Amino acid sequence: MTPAGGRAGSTFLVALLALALGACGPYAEVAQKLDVTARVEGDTWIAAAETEVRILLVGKPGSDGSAPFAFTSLQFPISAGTSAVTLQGTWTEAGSDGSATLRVEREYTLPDERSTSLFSRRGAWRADVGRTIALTVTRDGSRLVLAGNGSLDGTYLAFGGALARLGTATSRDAACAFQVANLGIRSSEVRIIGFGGPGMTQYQRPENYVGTVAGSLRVSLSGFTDNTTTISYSAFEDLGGARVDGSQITNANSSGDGRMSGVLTFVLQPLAPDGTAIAPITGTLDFGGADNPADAVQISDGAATGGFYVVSIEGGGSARVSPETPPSPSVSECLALP
Amino acid sequence: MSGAPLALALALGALGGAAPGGARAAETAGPKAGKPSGIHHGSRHALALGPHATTFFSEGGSQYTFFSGSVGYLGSLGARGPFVHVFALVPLQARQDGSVYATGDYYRRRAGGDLLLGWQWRWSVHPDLEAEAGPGLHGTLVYLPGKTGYRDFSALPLGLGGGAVLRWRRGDHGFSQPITVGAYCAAAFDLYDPLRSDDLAHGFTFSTGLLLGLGVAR
Repeated sequence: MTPAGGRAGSTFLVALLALALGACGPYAEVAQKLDVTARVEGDTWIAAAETEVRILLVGKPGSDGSAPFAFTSLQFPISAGTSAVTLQGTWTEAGSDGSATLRVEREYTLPDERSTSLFSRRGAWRADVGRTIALTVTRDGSRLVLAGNGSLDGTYLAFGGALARLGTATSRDAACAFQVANLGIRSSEVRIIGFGGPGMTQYQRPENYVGTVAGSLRVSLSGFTDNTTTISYSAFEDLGGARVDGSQITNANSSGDGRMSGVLTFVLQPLAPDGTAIAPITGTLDFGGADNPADAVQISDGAATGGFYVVSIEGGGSARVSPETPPSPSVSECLALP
Repeated sequence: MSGAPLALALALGALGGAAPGGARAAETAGPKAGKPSGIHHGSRHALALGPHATTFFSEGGSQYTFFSGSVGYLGSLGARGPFVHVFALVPLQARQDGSVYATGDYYRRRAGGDLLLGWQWRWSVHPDLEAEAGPGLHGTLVYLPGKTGYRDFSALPLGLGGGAVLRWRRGDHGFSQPITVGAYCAAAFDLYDPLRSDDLAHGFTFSTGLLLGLGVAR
């Protein structure tokens, strides 16, 4: 084969390989818009049940009485997190008996596919559902109690107020800061269509996703057999009061093995009982092991299985959090959730 | 694709100059109805143009349908022998579960291919009209990288199919071979998609169109 023919052949093979790698997993939706998130400007609430953390954002009602809402359920049997679900739609409260109707327009699912072969994984996906959920809502000070649907029920605390329970000085405080800042990171990943599966090759062309509250992220992927996935956060807020900036970088080969790098800065903004902002908690979350590259988060078969998230609070404590062990302390313990 | 060597062999056969002599000899022999005769020997080559449709169901129950324009090559060898139908596709309309989309609105590139590779039999349906048909292995590729903000789509349903060709000799010649016009059609039942983790439950592909070709040896 001539050199030119060799280049053409190589290009063809690379194109075939790219197509093959990019096409694995179930069929995509036809003509699917990647980011359809509508901003929710309102209140953020948080609840916990065993290994699950529930986050509810309810916007300000419009003239018709309905408000945009977003609900995310995150599973944290391990600090890296496993499965997650997000609902988006409208929230309508009618009358004074606390009855509310949630019209769910979109449902995002990030399944736990650690036991599924890498190229058979679906990754995060979205369905337009159009279903209704009936709830009973009770407000009690800084608490919001939902009843009537097992997936959403719980006693929620105002997120800003709960952040005021975080400390800054100790290693435990730093571990808590990680667990809380990680909520926004995980909830963003649920909405990145294809996240966790071979469909991520979609992002050979970078795409943007907005934060539910503010900011945005940009996800991009380079390489074919050895991939580098970069998620760059810019003033990103999926929970009101928890902002992240910076890049999370994952290098992995075609077997899903590799390591992470990149540093995110986080700002957690606690609120006093009267709603005024108090001193924020700022810090960094280093995926690359900080000063010790051997501590970088290790990726095996597409999942974080080793190394440490190195978290440092500015002017405070620091901690190394293993991705593969249960959160210690948990979000519920950190924020003293009911 | 595996059909490329066969197509190349067929094309080389067409330009090799061996067929015209045999064709002229066959012209003097005349047709012998009811059994294969020399009039159907030789290679056949044609360019084809027509619509293409593929529809398939995912394991999750969604139905996907793609209507495409297609241009391709039809080739075959011998009165009984191998054939290949290979097409380039331009998907024009996509459907999913009843929703209809103009692909140009959502995808920055619209590409695809269709291959039917099998074994054919030829016979005369009229003194100037030759038919050819046979079963084969089938594959359709749909490749639709999304515009900014939209998700990519791709599929490669594979299965079994059959194709048929009707050729009418007009009397003109090109490359020392008779020029023909005609029509083709093909259908396939698809049952496996290696690029989609076999998310394919089953599917069907249909194509038809007109052809302009060389090599009816009469």
